[in-house]
Amino acid sequence: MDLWLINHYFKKLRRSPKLSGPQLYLSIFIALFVFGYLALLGNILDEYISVYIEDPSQRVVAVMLGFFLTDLFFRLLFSVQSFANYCYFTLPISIRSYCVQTLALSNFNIFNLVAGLFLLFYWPNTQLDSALSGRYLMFFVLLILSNNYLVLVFKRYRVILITTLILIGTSLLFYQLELIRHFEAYLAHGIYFELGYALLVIVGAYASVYTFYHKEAYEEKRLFFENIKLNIRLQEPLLWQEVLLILRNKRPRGVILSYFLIPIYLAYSLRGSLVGDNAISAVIFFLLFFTVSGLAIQYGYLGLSWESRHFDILMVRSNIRQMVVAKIKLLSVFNLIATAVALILAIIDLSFLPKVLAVALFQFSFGTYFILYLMSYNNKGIDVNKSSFFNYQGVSAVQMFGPLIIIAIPTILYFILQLLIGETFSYLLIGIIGVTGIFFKEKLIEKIESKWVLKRYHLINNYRKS
Amino acid sequence: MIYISDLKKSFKGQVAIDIEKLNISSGSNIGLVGNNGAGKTTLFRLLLDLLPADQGFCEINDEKIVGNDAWKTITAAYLDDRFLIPYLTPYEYWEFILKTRNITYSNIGEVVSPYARLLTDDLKSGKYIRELSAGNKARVGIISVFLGEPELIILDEPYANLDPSSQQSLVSMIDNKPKDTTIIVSSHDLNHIQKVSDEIILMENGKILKQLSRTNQNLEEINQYFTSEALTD
Repeated sequence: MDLWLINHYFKKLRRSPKLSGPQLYLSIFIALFVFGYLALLGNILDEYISVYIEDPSQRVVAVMLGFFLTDLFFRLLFSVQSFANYCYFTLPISIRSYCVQTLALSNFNIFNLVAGLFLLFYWPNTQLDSALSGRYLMFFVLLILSNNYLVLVFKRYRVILITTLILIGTSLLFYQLELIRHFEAYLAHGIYFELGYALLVIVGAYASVYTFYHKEAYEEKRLFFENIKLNIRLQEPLLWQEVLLILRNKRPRGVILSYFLIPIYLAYSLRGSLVGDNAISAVIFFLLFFTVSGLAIQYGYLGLSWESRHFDILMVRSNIRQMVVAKIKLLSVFNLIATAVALILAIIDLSFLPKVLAVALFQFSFGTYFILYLMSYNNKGIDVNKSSFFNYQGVSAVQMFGPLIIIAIPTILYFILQLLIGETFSYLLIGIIGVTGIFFKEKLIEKIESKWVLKRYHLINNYRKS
Repeated sequence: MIYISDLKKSFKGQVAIDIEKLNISSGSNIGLVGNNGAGKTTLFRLLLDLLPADQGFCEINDEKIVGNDAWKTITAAYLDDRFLIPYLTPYEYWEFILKTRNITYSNIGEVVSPYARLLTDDLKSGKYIRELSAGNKARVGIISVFLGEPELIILDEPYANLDPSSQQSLVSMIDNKPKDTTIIVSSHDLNHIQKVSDEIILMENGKILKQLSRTNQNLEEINQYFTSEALTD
């Protein structure tokens, strides 16, 4: 068999700019970072889930399902839309050879490496007995491999993939342990269920690649989220262009994605102060506020600078108030996502739930407006399509200290309040302050608008210079 | 349509704009000419409220532009590629432009079809604007200013990156503009300016040297000015 496709793939990999020159160091750093993150996740995961699921084998099944969904979700986000890398008919190989090589190549990807590393750290902590451990481990590996083939099928039928994710995701939410028990029962059928599943997926993938051999046209390679058609559309043009700015440019994308590492890292490193007798109220507040406000801060601390490259057209085509309102909506969406992340922290302690709501109310009003106010000081232009790693373009003292102040003020306020009136009333007050902010929304918008109007020439001028 | 009074702007003590009075009536085609540094782009930026004036004011439709957004709904401008959004495709960009002006449409393809002669394959290919050549970027910007029939169109050096066919297309687009639309075009290319302008404004060192209607005698006078400037150099 002529292994043209495989040879070509590895030749391309060897020549990849990410594996040579200065990019190599960046790749090594990212690899170390991911390595550390997976080590952290692998070590704490079982410990946290054990609060809800006592049976270790059910815990592993729950993690398998979680892995299955997460892995497919990330592949959906980061896989290119089309397979048509080449004009097939010009390849010096037969259609069967093409299909076999495509299936073989689908096993070489970063997702498998990440999954393998996760398993390496996670498995020693699973507390399974050795006989069960071997079988479950085998199925886990099988899941990793079969996901490679599943993606080959689902790439063309993204609707099915999204439906699968939603169905299993919502079933997990509603049936929780029930679903996990069902899945465990299937696994109990022994090796036949597992092999049957793997075979089905491989045959499906082969058929899919074979069928589309001639049909698929070459397309520009774009990631899923670059072509996303959200029917909610966030119709207002100013808001929509900013959503696309995030989806289609490396730096805002990287900045947003990096947020999701922070709550997990904080939950792990602060674990001694979060539950039990050693719990420190202010630390809990800090964790929750950081989690709820983090996404909006992470993006907002360079707000307006993100649009420095086309700031002129925004100034000529829209008015400042429209821009402020569009950004409030965007940051509110971020707050909503971050609040959902914070609610997951209730795994640690259910009493976090009302606290998250109080903190979210504060963030939705005053927190968001603080960020918007500080945006007017972001007067340096940035190249949004450059990687966010070690990229400090547009960052000066204001961008360094601004976010710290936004987090420090409410935390100090809470610290003083809880000394004076106790924990419960402090959260209540923080929540009430948040509600007050919602009532004074118009006043706050006017304040920000007048600040932006004052600074507009300065920003326009500086963005052109930089 | 446009009224400018006692408008002054300096950069580090150097006068960039010093216009005592300028009146541009509705529906006219104005050609703005002058050598580099004459103040054409600065004048445009002042008109679009992208620069603060040191003194004086500009009005569009009898309303001052500073502290007032009414002019934005009737004005379209393309000065350079900072007027484009790099991570949108051309069609997405044009949709953005129409939506900012609250113009409803059913199919963006039909909306831009009158400008088919400027629509190259690259513009239709779904590439992002940042991936386009300078010429294609200029096409995107030029088409955008004609969308939705704005009352005032401002174009700065639109012919600079265009091939000869596209330059001719732009000339005919300006010729066929709606009767009430005012167009101000700056260019170094006197031939094109002479073809499309009812009036020509000649600028030098931030001042308006001449405001002439298009007669053969006046065109000759402008040509004479640039010839003598070249000889002086």
